Parts: sequence; C-alpha cells; structure tokens
Amino acid sequence: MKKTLALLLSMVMMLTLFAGCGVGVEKGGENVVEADPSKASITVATWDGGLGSQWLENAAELFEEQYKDATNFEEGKVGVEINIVASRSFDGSAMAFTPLTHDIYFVEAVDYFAMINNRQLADISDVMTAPLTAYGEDGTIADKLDPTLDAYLTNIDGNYYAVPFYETYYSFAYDLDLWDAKSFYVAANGGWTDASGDLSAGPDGVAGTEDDGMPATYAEFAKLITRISDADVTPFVTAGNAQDYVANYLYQLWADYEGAEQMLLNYTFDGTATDLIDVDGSGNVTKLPATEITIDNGYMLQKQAGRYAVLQFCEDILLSSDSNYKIIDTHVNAQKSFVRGGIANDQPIAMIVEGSWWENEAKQALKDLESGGYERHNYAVMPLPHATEEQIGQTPTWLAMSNSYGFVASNCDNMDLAKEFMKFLHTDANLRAFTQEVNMTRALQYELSEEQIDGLSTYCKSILNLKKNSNVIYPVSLVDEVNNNNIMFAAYTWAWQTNINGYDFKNPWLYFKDEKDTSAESYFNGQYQNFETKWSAIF
Amino acid sequence: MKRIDQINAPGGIRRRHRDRADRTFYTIMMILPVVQLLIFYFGVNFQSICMAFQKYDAKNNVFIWDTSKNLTLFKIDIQMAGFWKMVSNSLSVWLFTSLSGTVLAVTFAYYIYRRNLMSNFFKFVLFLPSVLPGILLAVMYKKFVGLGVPAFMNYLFDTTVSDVFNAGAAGGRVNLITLFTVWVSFGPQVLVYTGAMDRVDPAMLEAGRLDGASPLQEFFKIIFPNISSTVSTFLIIGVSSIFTNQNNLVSFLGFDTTTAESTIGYYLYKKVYEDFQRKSGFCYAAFLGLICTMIVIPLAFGARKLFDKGDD
Repeated sequence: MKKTLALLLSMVMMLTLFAGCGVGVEKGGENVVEADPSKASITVATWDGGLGSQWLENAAELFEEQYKDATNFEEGKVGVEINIVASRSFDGSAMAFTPLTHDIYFVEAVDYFAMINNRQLADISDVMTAPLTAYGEDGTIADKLDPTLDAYLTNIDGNYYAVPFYETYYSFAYDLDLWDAKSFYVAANGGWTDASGDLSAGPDGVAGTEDDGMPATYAEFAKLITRISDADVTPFVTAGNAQDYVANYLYQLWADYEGAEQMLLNYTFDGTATDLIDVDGSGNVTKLPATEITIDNGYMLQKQAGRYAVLQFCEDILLSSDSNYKIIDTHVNAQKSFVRGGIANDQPIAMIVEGSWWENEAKQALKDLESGGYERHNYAVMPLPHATEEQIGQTPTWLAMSNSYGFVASNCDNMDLAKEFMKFLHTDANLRAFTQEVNMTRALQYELSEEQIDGLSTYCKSILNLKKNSNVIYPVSLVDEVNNNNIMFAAYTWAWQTNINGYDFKNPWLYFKDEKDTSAESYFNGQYQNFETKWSAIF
Repeated sequence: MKRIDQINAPGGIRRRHRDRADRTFYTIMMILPVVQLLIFYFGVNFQSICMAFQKYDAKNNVFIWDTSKNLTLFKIDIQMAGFWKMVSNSLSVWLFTSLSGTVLAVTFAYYIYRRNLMSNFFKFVLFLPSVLPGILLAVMYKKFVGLGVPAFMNYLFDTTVSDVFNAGAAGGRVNLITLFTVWVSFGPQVLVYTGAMDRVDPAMLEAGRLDGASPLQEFFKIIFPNISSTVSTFLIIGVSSIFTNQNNLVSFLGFDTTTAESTIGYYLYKKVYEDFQRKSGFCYAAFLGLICTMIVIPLAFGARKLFDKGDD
C-alpha cells in the first residue's frame, strides 16, 4: 500500500515537471468555462484590472445575437457563444512564457516582439486589412491605426499579429466639485475663484476653452499647491504600490516640454535635436548647438532641456513640502480615499496621480459612495502646465502608454469565429461602446457623436478633449538596438535612469523624496553620464 | 542447475518476483530525481554557462556568441560605487543570516532541546517559516510592521507613524527586512539542530550532570562538539549562497528598491525578471552569475577545509 502510494505520488510529481513546458499549445487549464455544445464557441480572456470585462460582455451579447443563426463557424452547430473570462492572472508581462489557454486575449504590458517570436500569436492580417462591410463600414481596422503603431505592428515580417487595446495618459486627475466649492480655479486677475468666476486662460492661452482656470505654468501649479494646502485640503495622493505613476506623469511633462518633433527623436534616433543644454554644478544652463542625432550618439538626448525643467518641477514643487501629498498603500485605496475625500471621509483630496483607467477602476468605490446616500463628484484630467510663460499656447504633447493589445492565440480552436469577433469588436460602433462603458479610449481613430459624448463622465470628456487638442505620441521604436536592449529603453527607464556617485536611480520622485543632498543638476548630469557610459555596451 | 532449483523452490520464485518488483520500484522512484537533475541542474546550468558568452538579438530571437557586451557591462558595473555597495550588502546579509543566525539558531535549538519554559511556543514560532509559504509570511510581516504597528502607536500614544515600507529607503526598511530574513532562516536550522541534539548519547549527558556540569558547560562541552559537523554544513552552504541571497527584497518591495538596499542576488534576480520576456537581461545575468560562482567556489572549499581542520 505504501509502495503504491509512493509510486502514485512520484508519478504526480513527475507530471508537475512538465507543467511549465510548451508555450501556446495547451488548451484548457485555469478559468475553463463550460461551452454550449450546440453552438460554435470561443473564450476571450482579459486582464481584470482598471477596465474590467463589462465592455467585452456587452459586445459578446450583441455578437451572439447577430450570429444566432450562423452555421458557418463549425459544422453541425447553430449560433455562436462567446465566453468572457476576466482574471488578474492574465498578466501580459508574464505571457510570453505562459501557455495561452484561451482563444482571444485583451491584456496589457504585452511584449509584442517576444510573443511573435514564440509563435503564440495568430497572423490577423486578414482581419486588419479586410473592409468591415458586413458591419456597414467601408474602411478596415488598419485604416484606424496611427501610422506609428501601424509600422510597429508590421515591423517583424509585414504581418499584423495584434490590434492596439486601450490608451493611457498618466496625469493629475482633479475633483471639479471640490475645485468649485473651494475656489481652486486660477482667476484671470491672478487670484482664485470658483467655476463660475472670471477664469484665467489656462495652458493654451485662449480664454473660453476647456482648460480655463487651470495652472498654465509650473509656477502657477506651485501656487495652486500652496492654495490647496492653505485650505486644509490634501493637494494630491499617490499609491505606495504604484509610485511609478508619478515618474510616468513626469515623463508626460517632459514630452510636453519638448513637443512632438523633438520628443519623437527618443524613439527614432534620427533627426536634429535643437533643445539640448548643459547644466553646471551651480545650475547655470548653457544651450548647445543643434545636433544631428543617430543611434550612434543617441545618449545626447539625455541633455534635452525638458528633462531638467521637469526634474526641477519634481524637486521644487511636488516635493516642496511633505504636506503636498499623501501616499496610500495601494492604488485602489488611494482611489477610494480620493473619491470619498471630503464627502464620506473627513479629509478632502484635491488630486490623484493615476492612469486614465482610474475612474473605471474606482467604479465600486463610487457605487458604495452613492449607496451610502452621498452624491459622487465629477473629475477631469488636469491639462499639463508649461515650464515657462513663453510656452503658453504651445500644442500639448501627450504620450499614450500601456503596451496593451488584443490578439488571437495561435492555437485558437475556432479561428474563423475568433477572427470574426475581432472584426466585430473593432467596428466604430463597438469602439464607441467601449469608450461609453469604461470612460477610456482605444488606441484607434474613431469618433463619438455629440449625443454619445454628452452621456460620458466629465473625466472621459476631458480625455477626449485631450486627444482632440494635443499631439499624441505612441512611445514605440522600430530601432533594432532599442528592441535588443529593452531594459535600457523600457518605459520610463530611458526617461529617468541616472547614476549619481556610482548609484543608479530611475524614479526622480522617489529619489528627491527619499535621498539626502539631492539636486536636479546632479540628477540631470548623471543621466547623460549613465547613458554615455552604457552606450558602449550596446555597440 | 542453480536456476532450476530456484525456479522450483517456492521461496526462490518469490525472491525473484520481489527483486523485480524492487528494481521496478527503485527505477520509478529514481526517475523523478534523475529527470530533475538532468533538466534543472545540468540543463539549466549548461544553458546559463553558454549564455554567459552570448548576447541576445530580440528581433530575430537568437542568441549570438559574443562576450564583448557582457564584458563591457561588467567593466561598467565594477566601476560603480553602487555595485560594491551591493557586494557589501550581500556580505552583511550573509553575516546576519549565516553567522549570527546560526548562533541564535543553535541557542534556540538548545533551549527547545532542554524543554525550558515556553519551549513549545518557540518551537512553533521558529518552525512556522518552514511550514508556511515565504510570500505569505512576508505579507503578514509587512502588514504587521507596516500597518499594524502604526495603528497601535496611533491608538495607544496618539502618534502618527507612517508605513515604513512605503516611507522610502531612508526609513531603514531594509534592516527590518534583513531581520525577517534571519527569522525565516531559523526554521530549518532549528529543526536540524534539535534533531542532532536528540542524537547525543544520553549517557554522556547523564555523566556530565552527575559530575555537576552546568547547562552552559553541558552545551559547550557535550552538545556543541557533537553537533559541530551539522553546524559546519550549514555554514558552508551559507558561504555558497552569499551572492544568490536576495534578502526577500522582491517579496517586500518588488522592484522599487534603491541600489543602496540591494544585494547581488537581488540584482541578478532583477536583471532576469525585469526583462524575462525579451531575454535581453539573461546573458549579462548569466555572466555575472558565473563570476560570482568563480569567487564563491574557493571560498566554500576554503571554509570546508577550515571546518575539517577544526573538527580534527
């Protein structure tokens, strides 16, 4: 008996050896759903984070209704069934070494190159380039792509393997109602006023636009922080488990300072840099002559003036006082404190540093608030302030970050059905429905009607305004050296990694907050030295 | 003839069947460790050694034989004060977990062995890390120290204390994490030491007691000499893990640490994990790992020689 048991146990343990082997070939596994055997079916998996899965469930319902009599997807079956599986286990950052157990995925932090190389993604070029005539549209999904993303998606072999998912803009989200009640709007005369007062022209310098009353420069933002503190309101919150959000916001500010043309050099390494500076130990700035940038001297971009201006903003304004901010353990709790602040909690909070998904992620907190008899507030993305008064009126530049994609698994059970559903999801009607459901935008070009926009939250409307009035950059690169040195160029590492006295740092927010004897000059100069030294390892 | 006798003899048939069954049982039982050894020791180490002399081309998904990139990165690293700080942190963590930890583990093991006051409680607390998953303990510890203690302080003394793990590097969080590492390293040691102490001949202890030996004398003159080989085994193993111990930093802080808090083990882990999908960090991590191994091998053998001499 003991021997039999030992044998059985050893067999089971042997099988576990192979649990991690093979990529993209096995089906089933976790989150398996029971399918209706009379219908052709697929499963669609999505990361159960800020966006949730309701948008997919809505689309699946419509698709099932439209194809309820279809017989062409699987022999002997009538109708279709789209099963949605949402889980935190569908983490794109770990997917390149994980067997894909479902047919379609919509996930974030995907390494597109690695997953193609692992043959995990099906070629969906036919989906991307076929006109969506069956759904009343003449164009294709590829027509809706930004040219940069189009080139990136087809960079490996000319085929499409994924479609961009959502867009994220890291920003300060502010509480419109609190702003109004406490008179945090900048008045035209330089003082403070409520929403109905005589507002300043804001960062675009034009009165009568959506950004009126918002701080136009870093100096005005500094005054605003003081004004908020003086009113016994916490200026902003951020999450202890996501302090990279602040670094990403600073990355946005840097992009905005540089403008689209100069910022794009950081991804193309091809063009003329006209905004390079030297900063000495005392903080004296010298403008450098225009420099031709190639991949050979790409580290010169570490001298872009915007970086220095933003580092000063972080050190001198965001961190000018400990009372400027509150760090809350998790992003969900930070969102909860923000939406309840001054309503159901004692301490009102003026702003939160977050990605565009936060309002949808805080849905439950907002519902709880309303079910507790409180009225929820309205929120908006704060426009990016400029470093100097001279920059007022410059077209804003935003980075649409996330690396999120939708794709069909190469081992999909019903490729025809999966591809048809992908087409359906990317019709204008369903893209609009996505925005209406999650208050975010897809990284594709589509328009919403005035009526549809009216139904959106104020936060989502502010995102649409941001997209409409800004240059949007997708921070992806086609340069081989960049893709072969992913760590060096990943996310905000290229933006903020520095080496000071032999120590690496890559989040200026944490550096200025936690370290002693800090200065924006040493951080800025350390960035150039760090990348100039490491450049030799790339070539 | 012998064979026919064996076949004819009922006992011989049974023995032959038993031998075959034993061989089958032995074979099946050995498959798992052998396959594991082949894949996870020889396979992984072979690939890792190869990678130390390669660089990765992400676009074409191929490893190319070229050591120059790894060598350049290594030259850059060793010129950085931060790298040497990580080396020094690795040595500090080793000193705490391996040396101080061993002294404390032997002391607690002896306390438990003597069945002194609350020895069962200590046994439970010290064995706990061996039973529960490390990440669970790390979360418990993090919540208790980071959130629980400030809540108590607020309740009892009306003082505001921030979560030390969110308060940044300046708050000394790494010392609290090292303390945790020492605690979790106790479990297996205490378990083995109490086992070794239990095997000490009771007659020797009885004789010592009759001669009036105090507990301290009993420990130093009877118990410790009898368990010294077990202690030296742990210390030698500790030497070999100097550069692989990541001090539980991942469990506590993820990748939001500063260089000043890191160890070489954490640096290697981070290099592989941060970019494991793209594999571009693998080659340098393998190269650095190989260098660390070349440093640790003579140290481990030296330590063994030293302990062997001590035992003689």
